[in-house]
Formats: sequence, C-alpha cells, structure tokens
Amino acid sequence: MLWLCLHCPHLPAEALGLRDPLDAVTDGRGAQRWLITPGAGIAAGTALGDALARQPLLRAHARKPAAERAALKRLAHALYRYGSPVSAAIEELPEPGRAPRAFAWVEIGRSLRLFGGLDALRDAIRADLTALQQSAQLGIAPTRDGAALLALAGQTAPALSLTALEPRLAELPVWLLAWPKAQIDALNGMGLRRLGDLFALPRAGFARRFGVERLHTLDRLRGRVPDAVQAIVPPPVFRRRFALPEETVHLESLLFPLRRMSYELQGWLRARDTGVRGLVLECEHAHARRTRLGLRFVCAHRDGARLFDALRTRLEREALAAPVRALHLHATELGAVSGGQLALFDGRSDAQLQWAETVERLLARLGEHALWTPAVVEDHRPERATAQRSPLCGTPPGGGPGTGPGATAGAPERPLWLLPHPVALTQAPRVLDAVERIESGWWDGADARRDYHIADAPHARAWVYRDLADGRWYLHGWFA
Amino acid sequence: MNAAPAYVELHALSAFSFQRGASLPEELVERALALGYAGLALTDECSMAGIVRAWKHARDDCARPDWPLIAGAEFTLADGPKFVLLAQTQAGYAGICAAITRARRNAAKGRYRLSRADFDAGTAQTCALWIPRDADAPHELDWLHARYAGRLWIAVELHRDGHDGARLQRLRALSRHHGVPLVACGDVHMHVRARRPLQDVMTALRHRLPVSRCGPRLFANGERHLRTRAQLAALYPPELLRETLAVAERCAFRLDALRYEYPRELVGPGHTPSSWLRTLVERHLPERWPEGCPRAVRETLERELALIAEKGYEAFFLTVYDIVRYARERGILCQGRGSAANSAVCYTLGITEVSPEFTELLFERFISKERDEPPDIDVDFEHERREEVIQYVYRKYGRERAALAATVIRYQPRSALRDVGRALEIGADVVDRLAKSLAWWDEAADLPERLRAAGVDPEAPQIALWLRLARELVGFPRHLSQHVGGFVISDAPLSTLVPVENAGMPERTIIQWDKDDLEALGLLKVDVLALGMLSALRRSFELQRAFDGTALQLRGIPQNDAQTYAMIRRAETIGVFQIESRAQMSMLPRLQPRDLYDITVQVAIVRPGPIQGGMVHPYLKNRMQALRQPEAASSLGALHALLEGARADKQEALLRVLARTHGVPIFQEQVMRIAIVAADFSPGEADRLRRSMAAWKRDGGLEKWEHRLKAGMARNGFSPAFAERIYQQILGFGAYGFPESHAASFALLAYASAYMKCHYPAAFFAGLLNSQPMGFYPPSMLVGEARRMGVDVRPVDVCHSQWDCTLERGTDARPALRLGLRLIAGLPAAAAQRIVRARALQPYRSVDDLAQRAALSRRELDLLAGADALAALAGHRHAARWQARGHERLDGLLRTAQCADDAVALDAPTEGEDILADYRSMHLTLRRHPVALLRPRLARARVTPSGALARGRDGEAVRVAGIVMFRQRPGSAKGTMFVTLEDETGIVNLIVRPALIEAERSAVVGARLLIVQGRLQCQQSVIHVVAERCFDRSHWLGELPYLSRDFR
Repeated sequence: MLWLCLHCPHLPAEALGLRDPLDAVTDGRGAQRWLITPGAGIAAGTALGDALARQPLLRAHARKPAAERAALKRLAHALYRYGSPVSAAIEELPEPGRAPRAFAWVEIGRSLRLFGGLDALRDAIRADLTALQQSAQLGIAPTRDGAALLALAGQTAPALSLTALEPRLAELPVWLLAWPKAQIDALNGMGLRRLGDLFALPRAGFARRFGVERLHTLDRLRGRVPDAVQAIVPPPVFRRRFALPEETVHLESLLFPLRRMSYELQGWLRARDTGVRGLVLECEHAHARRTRLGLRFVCAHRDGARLFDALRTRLEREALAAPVRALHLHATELGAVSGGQLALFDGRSDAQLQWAETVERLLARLGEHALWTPAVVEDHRPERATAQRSPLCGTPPGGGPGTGPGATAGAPERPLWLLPHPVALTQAPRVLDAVERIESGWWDGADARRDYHIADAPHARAWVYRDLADGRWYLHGWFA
Repeated sequence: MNAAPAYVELHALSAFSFQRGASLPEELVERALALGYAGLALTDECSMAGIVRAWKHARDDCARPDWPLIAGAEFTLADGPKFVLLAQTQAGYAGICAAITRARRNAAKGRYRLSRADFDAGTAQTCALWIPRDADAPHELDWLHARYAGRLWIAVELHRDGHDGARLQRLRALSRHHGVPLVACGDVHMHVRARRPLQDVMTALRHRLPVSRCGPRLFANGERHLRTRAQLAALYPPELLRETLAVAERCAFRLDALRYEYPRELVGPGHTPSSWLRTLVERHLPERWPEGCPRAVRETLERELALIAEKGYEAFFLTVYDIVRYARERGILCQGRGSAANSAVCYTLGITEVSPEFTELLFERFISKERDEPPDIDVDFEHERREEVIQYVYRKYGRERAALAATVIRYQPRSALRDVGRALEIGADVVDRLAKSLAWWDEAADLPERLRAAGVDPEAPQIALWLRLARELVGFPRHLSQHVGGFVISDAPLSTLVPVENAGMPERTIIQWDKDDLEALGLLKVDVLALGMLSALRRSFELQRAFDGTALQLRGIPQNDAQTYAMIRRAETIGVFQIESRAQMSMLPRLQPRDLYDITVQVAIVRPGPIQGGMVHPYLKNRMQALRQPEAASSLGALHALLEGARADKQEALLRVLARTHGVPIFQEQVMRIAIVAADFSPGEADRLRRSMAAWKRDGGLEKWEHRLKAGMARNGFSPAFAERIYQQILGFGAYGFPESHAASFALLAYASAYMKCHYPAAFFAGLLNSQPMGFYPPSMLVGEARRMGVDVRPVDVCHSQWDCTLERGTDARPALRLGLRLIAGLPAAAAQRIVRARALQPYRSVDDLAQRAALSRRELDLLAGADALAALAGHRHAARWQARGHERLDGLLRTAQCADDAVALDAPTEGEDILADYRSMHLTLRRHPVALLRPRLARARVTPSGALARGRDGEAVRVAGIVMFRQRPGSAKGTMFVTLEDETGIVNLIVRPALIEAERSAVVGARLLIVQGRLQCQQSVIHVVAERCFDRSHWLGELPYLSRDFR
C-alpha cells in the first residue's frame, strides 16, 4: 500500500467560494468564535475578537460543514482516476482555537506504473488541483495516517516503506496529532514533544496515562495494526445519446427515443435510490450545431411517465430550428426523492404531486418567469401584504392559498382587487366611512402615511386614501 | 388652542414600560404641559419607576409643582382583564405599590405575574379604567364592576384604525347596560408622533423579531402619542373628554405627600431616638478619648447632636451605627465615609476613623442646616464579607422593610447599536465591528470615513436609519438593576412607599427607584459597599499577630510615620490603596506628600474631573512653590492678582476656601463653596449646581448656572476672566469631581496600607495575595514588588503551603512569605484543605501517599504537578506530571493497593519551560523573568533594560522591550493609549499616540512581547517613553527553548 494524502487547510473558505485574503471562516462554540482559515496574515485559531482588533477590515463568515463535505467529496471523486480505494475525512477538533482538518486519500501503489512513476503522478494531480482551483498540501506514505501527518507537516518527500516512515514520524511534533488539547498539553508538560518520545515510552505506562485508544493510534500510524478504509465510489453519471436513423423535424418521430430515454433514466434513478431535479436535452443538428433545452422539476422524482411528459411538452413549445440527427439526455441535477412520492410504488395519488405536475406543465408551456405564486407577508401596508414568489423556490403551498397567520377576526376590511400601483385622483372623492390611518414601513425606505376611506363610485365601492405626506388622494383598490 | 376642550391624559406609558414606551417620563410631562393638558397620569406597566422623574421635572424644570401628575399603573392579568389603576389618595397609591410588589415578587427579574385571584379584594381608594381589547367578553367588565363600583370607567381609546365608530358604539352599549361611565384615553406610548420608528423598534425588540417581520404586532399608525386637544376634539365626543377631568379630580394624591420613617426599634427602652443617640455617644466617648474629651470636640458634638435632632435624622445615624456594630462584632473591618460620616458623632460611634481634629481642616464637615439634603454616609466593608452584612440587614428588618435601591441601566451607544441593529437586520458582523470601537460615535465629521473603513456604506439609507435611531435610543432606560449597595430601610413596609421587585441575584430585592429618585424625595439610603483593601488589611493584621504577636489594628496605626511618607514620595506604592495606579504613581514625586491632607489631595486630584478641568498643573506649580518657600501666602500670589478689584471681604472668603489647596479648587465641596462665597448662591442652589454638574454631560442644562454664576461674581467685583476660569473648571469637573469628605477616608486607608507595606511587607503582601482579585496589579507584580522590598518569597509546596499565603520563620528575624495553594489556578479549596489536614497528622512520603491520604483526584494531582508543588516528593516537573497522571484512585479494599508502574527517565524541563509552566499554573514565577532569557538577543537589538532608563536624558532616543502587562485607553486622554511593559528589571510606561495606534495597530493591540523605539520623557523623576515605532516580537517567547505559544 502506498497512500497519497491531500490536506486542504483552506477548504472551509473554498467551499464557500471565498478567495479574498480578507475573508476568513470561523467556527464557534457558545459565545466563542475563532478563525479556522488564515486570513489577512492572521493565523487560523486566532479568536475572532483579537483578529478584528488587529485587522478591522477582516470579513468573518460562519463555516458551512455541509458545503465543506460536498467540496471534499468532489475532490475525492476527482482523485478516483488515480487509483482506488479513495477515502476522505474531515477531522473535527471542536475546541476553541483549533481548525478542522480536511483530508482526501488515494491508494497509488498499484497505479504508479500506469501513470509513469511517482513524479509524473504527482504532477498530474497537481495539475488537476490547479484546474479545480483547490489548494492542498501533499504527503505520501505507506499508511493513511502517516501520509496525513506528512501532509500536515508540509513534508512532500514520500516515505516509501514503513522502515522509512518511522524515523520521519519520530521527528514530528505531537501537536500534529488530532488528540484533545488537554492530552497534548499533558504530553508537553512531561517534556514529550515529538512522536519519537512517545514511541520510546513503555507501552503499559503510556496506555495507563493516555488510554489504549491512543496507543492504537500510534500503532496504526506506523502500520503495526491494519487500517479500515471507508472507500468512496463516485457515482457514474447519467448520459444517454440516441442517434436517429434519419434526420427529422417531426416531433412524432422523436417521441420514441424520448420515451425510451425517460424510462432508462427512471431505472437508473431507482437503482441508485435517487431522483432527478434537472435535465438537459440536446438535439444535434448538422454541422455540429446543437439545440440545448434545460428542464427543471419542482421536486426531485423518478417517474418515467412524468419525465417523458415534461420532455414532450418542452419540445412542443420549442420550434425546432433544424432537422435533428441525434438526441442527448443528461441528468444534470440529482436529489433525494421526497417522502410522499415513495408511497404506493411511486404512485401519484396525493394532491401535492398533482399540484407539482400542474405547475410543471404550466412552467414548461409558459416559461419560468410567467408563473408566480402569492405569498402572505405580514405588513400594515396593503401593497406589501401580498408578494410574488417563483413556485420553484420552495414547496408548493400546503392547502392552497388561504388565510395567512396575520389575518385576525378584527382585521379591517380589504378590497378584493388591489391595484398594482395606486392611481392619483384629480379631486377628492366622496368618502363613506371612518378613517383608517396607516403609518408604517419607515424601515425599508417606503414609509407610508395614509388615511384610507371607502368611497362611493358609480358601479362599485372604491378604496381610496389621502397621502399624509403630499395631501393628495389616490385610488388603491375596488371592493367586489 | 384655547377653544379646544380641557383634557387629562389618563393612560400613558413611558420608556419605563420597557420595550413598549418610546418617550422618557420627562418628555411626556413637558409635551403634555405644552399642549395645555390639564394633567397627566403616568401609568407604566406594573411599574412606578418613572413617576419620580416625571414629578421632579414638572416641579423643577417646568416650574409647575401644582400641575396634576397622577400616579398609576397598567396591569394585564394572566386571565384578563387589562386595566389601569390611578391613585386617589396615599392609601390608594400604597395599594397600587403593594399590588405591583406582589406581581413582581411572584416572577423572575423584569417580569410580573398577576391573576384575578390576586386582585380579588380590589384596591381601595383607586380609580380603575377598563381597557377593552378586541374580542373580549363583557364578563371582564362584570368582574371589575364587582370590585370597583362607583370608581370604574370604560376607557375609550380611538386610534383611527377604521373601527373607531363601531368601537364607540359597542362601548356605549356596554356602558348603558352595565351602568359604567365612558372616559377618553389615549393609550399613549410616545410624546410625539415622530417617535413612531423608535416605538416600532421597541415592539420588534419585545418580540425578538426584525421590524420588517413584525407585521400586525406593530401599531398600524402613530396615533398613540400625546395628541393636540383640537385633534382629540375631532375624534371624541365632548362628554368623554370632560369625563377625564372628573376622573383626575378624584385622583388628588401627589408624590410630595410621601413621608417615611426610619426604623424605630433601634432605640433602647425608655428612650427617645434623640436621647438614645446621646446615650450611645456618651458611652463610646471614653474609647476615643480615654483622658477625657477635649472641649472643642465636646462643643462640636453638642452642635451636631442639636442639628441631628432638629432635622430628625437620629434614626438614620442609629441605623448606620447598628450595621457597623454588627460588622465589628463579627470581626468584619469597615469604615464610613461621606459628609455626615466625617462628623464627630460618627467618629465617636466608630463609624469612621477620620478624627474631629483632622476634620477641623475640612469644609463641609456635616449636613448643612439650610440645605434640605439628606446626610450622606457610605460604609465600606471587607469585600468578601459584605454579603454577611447585607443578609443581616435583610434579616433584621425583613424583606418588607429593607431593599436595595435600583440602578437604571440605560442604553449606551454600544447596546443601542446592537438592539437597533437587530431590529433593522443589520448584519451581526457589521454591528460587531462598529460597536467594537466607538471612537467615531462623537465625531460626526469623520463618520463616513470611519464607516467605510469598517466596510459599511455610509450612503446606504439603512445604515443612516440605524445610526439615527441608535442615537435616539441612547440614554433610554433599558432595565432596572441593583445599586452597588444602597439600602433603603423604613419603619412601615416599603411597598407602601415604592414597589419592590426581585433583583437578578437570588436573595436580593430592589425598589423601583434609583438614587436620584430617592434624593428627589428626600429619602435616606445607607450605602453598604465592598472594599478589597479592608479584607487585605485585616488579613495582614492577623498574619502579623500570628507570626510574632504584634497587635495591629486600623485605629492603632502610628500617624505621621516618616519612613512611610518617604516611601510614598519615592512612588513605591504598588499595592497601596488608591495611590498605586500608574497615573497616581507618576504624580507622587511631584506632589511630595508630607501629611494626611496631602494624601487626601493626592487621592482626589488624579481623577478625570480635575484632569479635564485643568486643575492638576496649576496645583502642582503652586504646590512646588509652596514647598520651596514655605510662607503660606506665596503660592497664592497669582490668585491674589486674579482677585484684584473684588470686594475685600469676598476676596478674603474666597482665599480661605482655596488656601489649603494652593488656590486651585480640587474638591466638589470647594466648587459649591465658591458659588456661595463669590456668586452669592444659597446653599440649596449650590447643591443643585453640584447635581447639574454631575449630569450635564448627559443632559446639558448648565447654561442657566453659567449666567447665574458669572452675574453673581461680577456683582461682587470679580473679573470676567476669573469668573470664566472658575466656570470652565466647574465644567471640566463634570460628573467626576471627588468630594473631600470621601477623599479623607480614603486617605486614611491609603496611609494605613502604606504603613503596613513599609514596616510589615511580608504580612502586607500575603494579605493582598489572599484577597485577590482586587486592586490594580496582578499577583505576579505584587510578588515582584514584595521581593524588591527584600521579602523572602517561597514557592508553593504541598509539604509546606496552606491554602492562603502564610508567614514562615525566615533566615533572620523577618518573616518569609510562603505562597499558598490558592495561587494554583483551578485547584479547589476543598482539596487544599484535605492536603493541609492530612499533612498535620504526618508528613507526606510520596506522591502516592499524598494522593491517598488527601484523597486527590488525578486532575488535582496534575494541577499540583503543574505548579511544581510536588517537587519535594516527585522531583522535577516532568517526572511529577508523569507520576500524577499515572495515579489511579481506587476505592474500598484496593484503596491502599499499589499498582506496579514502569519507571521512565524523562528529561528535566529547561529554565524557560519551567518559567512558562509557572506562569501557566499561577500567573507568576519566582524564577528569572522570561525577558531575562531573551536579554542577549535584546541587547543585540540595542534595547535598554527598563531599570536603566532612570539614567537617561529627557528627550533621548531609546529602545525598550518587555511583556505587555496593561493596555489602557482612558476617555480623558483623547485616544492616546498607555501601555505598561515589564522586563526583569522593572516596568516602563509607554505613551502611544493615536496616529501610531492606527499605523501599527496589529503590534500595538495584539503583541505580547513588544520592542518599542521612542523618546524618553523624564519630568520630576517620572519616566515615560513616547513610542515612535512598535515591533511585535511575541514569537520570541514561543522560541524560548521548547516553548509552546500560549504564554499569558
């Protein structure tokens, strides 16, 4: 076994897409916050307060562990081409002043020759890292933990055998170990500062003071006990190409391949217990030209009929620019299937699903921007009390649009139809009832100060107001 | 406006309804008066916290003492209804206070709990207003009607919400049906409509939501302000407005009717308070004057007793006497201070140690007859035993009759920025960054630049809104907290006077008024305060007595000890009470104290007031001149010239006021006396001037005094230049003027501690170390100072140390100081006691023996090993730690079994390692100073040891280095930072200008080891270095042989 380990000290920042040195990522426990990536010349581990005192321009971001895991997984997937098994881990050291450590490993012993030797392999990996915009330190050793420690210590020279590894490890400081700070301090307090000091101690005496588990860690490090690897296998992707027997502009002749690919996708999704949220369908034309059609679903699913339905509707809307030679289907976005859909053999009995399909059909037909859903917003200003929102943003409304939480029994009367923009009136209307004064909204720059009345108009009752700022009258809505 | 109907607002909340009201009580009163209201009821929610301010504002600032200000409160019962109670009479007021007390005592701090059951009996002599809420049933009205028949109204509150008409109709029907009259009310939450944003912010804070997400929780409009009477007339039927006057008329209670009695049970049987006080004075006289009381003192006593009798203050003196007597009996050291404390009566009763012979020197020795000011006595107790005294007071008088005064915690810029920021959804990091350094707050000019530097766009409307509202919020009350120790004790239950509520600390109750409120009403409070130096002194006395039988006590310390004063003049005052800070120490060689009065001046002069008022340099100049030419008049020469032209008797009187402070006013009392003597203020006016001085930074309002003062001085012939100088000094004095009456008591303690340091340094420093945390300096510097004074300080050792630091037989007759186990950070006192107890039976043979007999855990052993306290049993620190960690605590039969363990040979720690381990465990070391190890390296960098700076020239370029001990940025220093560096030869004080802080912020703010290049400043043997460059060399500490990086 020969392991190559990548240690990514900047991963928490990279996972958030931060590249500026003034951006630093923090972790916290209770009220304490500290940097876990270096920023603006301030070391990781510095308390945020101290860091801000020294560099007031520093921008602090809370870490997002899920994003870090996803980023590390991507890295692991990329390593897969260099060997197997691949594994990855983020070691959490949740003590104030310590940063998590992100590692990815790949076993390269068997693939060394394939890549033309260690140097060539290393260069290839470095080139990949550059392409991925991923910074990392690299270590190579016959044990995973050994490779990780070399990477942490910044020692790029490989240790090719266990006999070569042990003296290298012996020189490393004990604080590199991911042990609780109290134990590191205890070791230092006894003058035990290098791993070699620990290797030299009587085993029973060491275990009695620091626990058997720590002894095993040291053994695993030196390859004296086996190491259980949890391998990561990247999922293959779904890409299908269907070449048509002859060029066509007729939709009918495309339906067969569409249906077939839809159900292939369904089978593929079921096998992997996942669902699809986004698709790309490409139509290949002559002269290597392509028409690209994106398709998104309200929620992830794996229903072949629904996939086909959506693809067909989309093609119906899109007039084909040129005769089609081949179709290419690519699942671009996967996601877990929600609970309701899994009931009854992926059946579509529940109302949620029907609602989702209806929305999808409308979206496919009208385009994403034509459709919005009302959302209830709590605000005294009538024009703010409703808002628009894309149906793709979240779950569809549970019981359909209804009474919001703000509606109370004593709430004042509101017109059925509210004008999108109030219309200025040239003269004061004849008002019927008592005034309803609304003064609200100073916080977002649209402070409203108005006296509302119901006014008599020839065929209906109008909702009008006098603006207290300019004294003018406006029409704001009609009652049914 | 005159045609508008008369109106009294009966339902108004102030900012003391926390997170609801958006105007101060004073603002409400002022606005109501401006609108021509015929009265105002302040009805804060379950609170009387704002009423005194409102009343005082109407009386003093608006000059309308007779204007009807009605005391009341709003209640919402857990099971409904919501209603307002207004006090008709004093009994009614007491009833409301009792109800508030009940509600507040039933709930956690800041909350209240009431249900219908609590109100079943109703409250006598109050008027009740039912506040109908939407959707509530008339049974609420029934319930109230059954209890308040004939004094119940339905409050009609119309706010243009679109339902005014319907509401009026519904309430009219209810009124007819139940036979309860209607009255107009405003549900006022602010004094003007413009407070609407702030009021919305309050609502948002109450709901812990941003304003934008509050929705219907906000009021729909800004109608809940004090509306003009014309507006009200347009909304309400006239009879409803008229009814407000009828209600107001029935509420005749006014705050000035409050009277209260000090507890009477302190008087001996068959005595009046007056005769009992006299009896006690006679009883204690021989203790003070065993050879008989001098005639002058006797005359003073008679004068004072007569005055006390005239003002009826006997019970107050008896109360203080009783508390002090209790402390004495329990061996708790205490000392009184304050104007009344420095009386012959208090000296005789043992409340203070400032003798009448000395007080002869003081101006305001006592309560003045003309001024209606309550006497002022603060009593300091040992800080660790004050709680015993507090609990005694509660025990003796009961929680019904004794409570602490409140302190109103107000919004500061920082908290205002945070709270408004939360309501406006300003990012937490932006708030943090701006709130962190508030230098920009007062300088509107460079605000945009500051904001940009903090990464905030000053043009953004959201930011402007945030800052504007935060500024508006500053000064608003935020919550009530407990006063540091001001007790109010009364004969009748306190709750008949003011509501009592729970404080944040368990076992504490506070009243809803703060010290200003008490003062405005003329109520007395006794300040039971904590003072660390008293603890330290008592311990020093006891240690010395245990060592060689020397009986020392505060009373018996020899006065005018030449060696002690010489030490003070050399500024060797680390550890000495009050005169130990860097600023104090730099003043001592210039001021050259020679007697107790000099120390009194020294204590008072190094304070922000005199510094900002520009008194220090004139004083020093005159003092220096006086020392050179001891004829008294010479130092006043300049003053004579300034007084040219004034009336001769006034000149002479003024000179008398200023003579002892060399023509410069230092004390608060002098300022008041100047106003009286030079500008013909009455004593009462002078007292009000003092209070305005204390508040002008916050509230302004000193202008009227300026005119009054300058006109008065002109009338007496003083030159405008001199009047201006006096006025400027008063301004500078501001809130920080220090009263001579307090300074004199502090001076006594300063002298006593200096005497102990000078003659019994081992006992003195042991006492200080055993009373930590207290004072200005950390234990490491105290230990360093003790060793500089020749004390043999011995390390912590499980074979010798007690929990406390102790005195041991030294090599000569002088005691050695053995450090106690208490210095080991994290070691529980109980473990230390077990170590000491088991050791008394038999000395320890080994670590295992120690661990078993003292029943120590592995962690406790590890702490001992870390402090090198096991050295005698286990050898060097590494070996001790290895042994400590190998210890396994076994129970039962196995208790004495020894587990076999492998022997290991560990390297001994290096000196550097040991030094750092000492610091980590105890924050001090008896080995070499860490900087000593770096000296060769520092010498190569041409750094001068701080001990050698005294030989330098003023203005010389120098390089100094050391570990950063303190960073201070006092408000009075215009952004300059003072940094103290320590090396193995002593300390050096740096002056860092703001420009340098900006330029080298990281090093100035963050470094632990600094090399500083700068210029030496030597003035009157006071040495500073004005920094010009700073170099962060913290990593050198980490590079000491095998050092980790967390040196603290």
